[in-house]
Amino acid sequence: MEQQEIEIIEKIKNGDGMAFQKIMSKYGERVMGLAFHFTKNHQDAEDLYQETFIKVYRNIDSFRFESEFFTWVYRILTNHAFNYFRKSKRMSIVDPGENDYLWETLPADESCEADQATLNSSLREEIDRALLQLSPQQRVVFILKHYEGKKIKDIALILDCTEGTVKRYLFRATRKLQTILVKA
Amino acid sequence: MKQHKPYEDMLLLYFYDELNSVDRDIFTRHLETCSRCRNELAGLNAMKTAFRQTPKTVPTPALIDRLNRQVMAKIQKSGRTKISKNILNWVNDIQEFLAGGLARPRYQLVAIGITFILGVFVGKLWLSSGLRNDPDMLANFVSYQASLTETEKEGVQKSLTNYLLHSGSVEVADLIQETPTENEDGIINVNITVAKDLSLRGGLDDPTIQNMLRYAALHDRDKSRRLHAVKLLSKTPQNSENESTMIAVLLKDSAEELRVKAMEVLRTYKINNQILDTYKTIALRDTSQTIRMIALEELYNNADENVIPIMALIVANDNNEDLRDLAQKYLDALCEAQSQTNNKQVE
Repeated sequence: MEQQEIEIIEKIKNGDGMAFQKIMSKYGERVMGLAFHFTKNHQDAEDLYQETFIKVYRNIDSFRFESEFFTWVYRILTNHAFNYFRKSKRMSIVDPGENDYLWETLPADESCEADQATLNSSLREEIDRALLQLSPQQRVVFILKHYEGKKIKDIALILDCTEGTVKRYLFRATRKLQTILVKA
Repeated sequence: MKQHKPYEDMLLLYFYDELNSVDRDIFTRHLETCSRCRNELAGLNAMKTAFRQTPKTVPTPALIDRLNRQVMAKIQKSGRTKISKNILNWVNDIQEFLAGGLARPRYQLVAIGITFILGVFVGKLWLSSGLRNDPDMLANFVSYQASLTETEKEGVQKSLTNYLLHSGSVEVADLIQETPTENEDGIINVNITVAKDLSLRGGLDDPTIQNMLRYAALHDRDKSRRLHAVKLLSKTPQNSENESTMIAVLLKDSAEELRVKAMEVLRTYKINNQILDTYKTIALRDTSQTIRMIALEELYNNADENVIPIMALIVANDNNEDLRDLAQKYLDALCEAQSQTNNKQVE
């Protein structure tokens, strides 16, 4: 961990609000991106984001520098995500909500044609639908692997489980998604 | 087929670039000769390409900025003192342990186990507490919990305080301003004492008066007021709320005099399963001989198929001789009646 980050965390532990804002600015976009991947819903992603950072602040004293700080933040985020999945078993596909203008959709390839962009957009809907058919654990593991590019051992650390368990969820998720997407 | 099985997992690890160098070499050599794995790998790569081709939704800096401000405001509002911060942490930790932590893959079986043990424990408490016989109270409790949000509760509290302020019956007991910041003045806590007694007037047919009587019968610390409330309620017609109150008094009140009165009231009511169940419980476990004898009599008069084992249990095990004799008398009569019914059916 960078020395600068260690100093910022120490400051937060001493109640420095400005230092905490720095951490939020540094990791905010990644946390929000992941929260959106988990929920596929802007409003819920915002709630998950706020709950995660409030929890980070309240529990900062329990962070002992034994892992990367962001791994610890990921762990809090995924725990809240599991709570979220438990509460809302039936989830809807992307609900833009009132604050849609605060989100940007980046094309996969800026040079792609309009037709291709439309096709890609409908492909994303298919993928989102397929993701929602996975179990919460499979979805979380798959998202951490595919969108965040995390290694299996890091995912095991985040989820506090064995690498074997992560592999099992990842393999099942991959096979299931492949079947669903081929059918679609 | 069996020999190919290990390669299926290796294929996925290869696809995710998670194989060590030795396994990667082994699998690369296998891939050259296995068309099935090559096809599968092609399928997986197509899926990866599809994921890459999809447009990405990202939050704008304005959104992150707004959310960060909201997070800071919430932190400042809720975490002003070390004590409140600690309490919030404990509550959060417990909540997370129960809800989130147990949802983690490793703890799922543990969660099922704990849920089962808690279920049995709560179930036992439930049955022994007699709450089973007081479903309305529970229903009210649940609906109260479900119907009012924190904001609504705060609203009700403020409206009530405003009303009391107009009647001049409020004293300010304490005034605390929580740590102000540069931008905000800080939240102010006003602790109030309601100095004036409220009084309600109404007849026995008034639902609010009846509610207050039921509340007094169950919760008043003064025994004579509880007894008075039960006596007054006995003059109101039988309904589910009154039934539940009488049953709760009979099952829970420590004063024998009150339990006897509640029993008298229940005996005037039309019998139903809830009342019959109460008599069964009372016949077995009340500390008063008088009450148990009345319960036995009521059970005999309103006997169903479960009454005989209860009578038999008392005959066989009870320490009280009078109760054993009475139960034996009723048991003989019930058995006689039963055998007569059987004979009639044979004829």
